[in-house]
Amino acid sequence: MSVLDAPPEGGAPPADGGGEGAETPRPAGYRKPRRAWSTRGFTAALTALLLGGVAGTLLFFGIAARLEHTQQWAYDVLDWVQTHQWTDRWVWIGGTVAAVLGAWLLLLAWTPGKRHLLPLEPVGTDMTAHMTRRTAGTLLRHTALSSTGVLDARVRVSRRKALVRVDYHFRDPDELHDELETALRERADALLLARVPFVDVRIQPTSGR
Amino acid sequence: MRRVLNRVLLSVVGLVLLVGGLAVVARSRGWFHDQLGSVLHTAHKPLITPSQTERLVGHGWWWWVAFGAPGLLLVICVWWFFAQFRRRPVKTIRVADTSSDAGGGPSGLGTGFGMVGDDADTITVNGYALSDAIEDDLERTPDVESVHARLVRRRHGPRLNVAVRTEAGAEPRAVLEAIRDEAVEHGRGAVELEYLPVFVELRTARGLPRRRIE
Repeated sequence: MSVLDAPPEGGAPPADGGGEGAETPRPAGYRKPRRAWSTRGFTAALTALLLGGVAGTLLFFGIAARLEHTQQWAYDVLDWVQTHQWTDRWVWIGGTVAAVLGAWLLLLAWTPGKRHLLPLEPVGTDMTAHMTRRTAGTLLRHTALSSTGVLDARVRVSRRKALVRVDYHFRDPDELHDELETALRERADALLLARVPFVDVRIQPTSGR
Repeated sequence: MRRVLNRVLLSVVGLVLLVGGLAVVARSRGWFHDQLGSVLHTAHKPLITPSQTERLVGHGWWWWVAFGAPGLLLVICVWWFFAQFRRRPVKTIRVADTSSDAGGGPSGLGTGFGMVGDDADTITVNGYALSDAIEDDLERTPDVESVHARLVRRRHGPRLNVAVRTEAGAEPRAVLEAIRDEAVEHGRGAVELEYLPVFVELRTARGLPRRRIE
């Protein structure tokens, strides 16, 4: 780190305001954080492999036929194709499988994926930040556990809702519920999540362990 | 761009499979026979009839298609498959040498004596070296448990991908601000980049935060 003279800012405003309150005015170039989109590398590799396998087999089939070295299985396939009608059971089963597979691929191609990542409000420009759902759940769990009388808390966070199940003892349930709700809402607001999840608190008495 | 490419190609393959599969089922089961009878023909016929094969083989273009289509598909698939494993690391970043021995070149003897083609007043920084330095820098910030950083080559220059695992009870805002103000700023300044976009993935350790005595 030898050269530390201040580099030019690139004309970007020091936009540090996207945070706590949603009411604070956004800087000019502000874009709402979007969900993380998966590359779909695994699906693509698998599809390419299978499709390439089919194409290669066809090519092999054709070349072998031209060289008159046709394998026995190729004759069997040709024979099957020429002796079975379109009404054959395996024809429409195969068609159904292909259609379901196609629908699945379309679903994968058109949905974001990376469901475990929640977008965060960027702190400053040039930063894209995400947090895993489990992380958000763990942070909310810490808050829930810091209340008196709480024995355990299990948190499940989705994009819109955080479901917090709390085991408690020796507390007035209404009072505890209100306290937890206030504390958890406040915590959820401070987590920098681009979409603050609605906190749903469910408490149940436990006899302890 | 690989993301867009993958999704476009997957859509094409998916559409072909869906439409083709449905057409096969429709012909096999006799669905929509009244409306689409001219397209789907009768189901009471072999999948391939000898007259069809004769007609196809009779065409001059048939052999071109029979070998060209699978061949082309195979080439595209092989290319698409290997594109998934292509990594785009930042190999080198060139920085102007402002130290006292600038102009010495890599060998210290000045240009013409050192490595041919390398500027005498430029230092070349390995992308891995920079991302490792940023990693070390981040690991020393409070509340950070482990960091994995790497530089990726993008269209408008390098981008930094950081996966941070914080200790239980760390404040996300504080961690993100530390990344922005210290690690990234130091790294960016060190190689005199105009700007260095960051992509952060934040996790926490499981378990409870350490108790603080007030």
